[in-house]
Amino acid sequence: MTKKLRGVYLITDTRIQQRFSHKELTRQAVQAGVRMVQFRDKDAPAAEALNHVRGMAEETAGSDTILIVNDRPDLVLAGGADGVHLGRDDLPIPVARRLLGGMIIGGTSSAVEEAVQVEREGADYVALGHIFETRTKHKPYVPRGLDILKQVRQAVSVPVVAIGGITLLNAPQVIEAGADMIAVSSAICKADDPEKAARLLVDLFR
Amino acid sequence: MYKPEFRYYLITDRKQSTRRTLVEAVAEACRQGIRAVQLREKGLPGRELYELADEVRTITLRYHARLFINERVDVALAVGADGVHCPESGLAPAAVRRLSSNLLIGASTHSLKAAEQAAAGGADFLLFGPVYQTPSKMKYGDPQGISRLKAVAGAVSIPVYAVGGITPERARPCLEAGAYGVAGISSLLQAESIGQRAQEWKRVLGGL
Repeated sequence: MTKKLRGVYLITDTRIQQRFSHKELTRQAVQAGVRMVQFRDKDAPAAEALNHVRGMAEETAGSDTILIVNDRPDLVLAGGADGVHLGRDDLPIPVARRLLGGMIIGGTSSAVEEAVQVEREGADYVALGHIFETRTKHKPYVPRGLDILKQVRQAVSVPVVAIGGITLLNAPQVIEAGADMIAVSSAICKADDPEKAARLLVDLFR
Repeated sequence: MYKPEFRYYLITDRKQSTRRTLVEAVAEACRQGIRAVQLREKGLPGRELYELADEVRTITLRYHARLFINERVDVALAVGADGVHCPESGLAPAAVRRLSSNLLIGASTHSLKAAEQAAAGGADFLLFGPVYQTPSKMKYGDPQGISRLKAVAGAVSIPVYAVGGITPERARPCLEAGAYGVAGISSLLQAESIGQRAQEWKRVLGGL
């Protein structure tokens, strides 16, 4: 990795809003200085998903924005993305590492022990969530809150990505609690002006 | 050009393997001479699919059977499968070929145009169907019939396997229409005796 992973992490979503495509949201994110963008759509057929990833890769090419694909190392490789994000049910991190070499691999956690394990398996960053209540993604457990974020920050040495219910209003506390990155979907995708909303979040890291 | 060493292509579906676990069914099929298996387990999360694929890889290697993974090129590469099988809605053969020059590529097709595209994109063999009415392929519309199978087999230079509602009794017209072999799910998976059913296939196909 050339630069530290720090800043805003956008997960583009075309279900919670239909005004902008994955590619359009990515373009706005790149303009605003968003550090990472993730494509996530578990229901899209692979051919369609690949088209989205390729479109997004055209936008991030030549920028400092890193493109991540959820769940599918093969789409990362075929689509020209920079890495993959793996949930606990997805391919094991060491398996993905064999396929992706030095590309970026992120892993999901919801507890301190899990975060430590994700790091031990070789992840380049650990996502922790959900920090606050969120409606973007159904979660079977209660919000993790800022205390656990502080504990995870202490327990691992890779960057920690906080996710879940983060807004412009509560983001400062999340960064204060030690998040290296804040991952959002609604806060940008559903904003009247996604680029402006992204810029305001990016500015919190200055 | 790759000339497949198998005439019967077993496609899996854990939901149809009601008499035994899927792993048991695949092991028994391979033991009985089946030489190619396509792992096609929709709706399994990546980790479970990988673990199952790894297990099936061990079995297929033991019996010198080919293993193809449906759709997931990453899983195919991770478990060292022989190939990938591309559904029409998945990564196209050309995209798979760019990721790996070693993987064999099978492709499911439901029209002459799709068959020609898959062949041009680098597929090593095709499935075409459903030739006959079958519950698992209802969503692809009415059966294609023998005449369309014949048109596809005549239009592409790679082997074409007939799929969809094909029983040993119905295989003969498919072969006469130019099919290289037959692919199926339920015929073997739901058979009371996989060994007996495999023997029937062997007779009608002139080998498995």
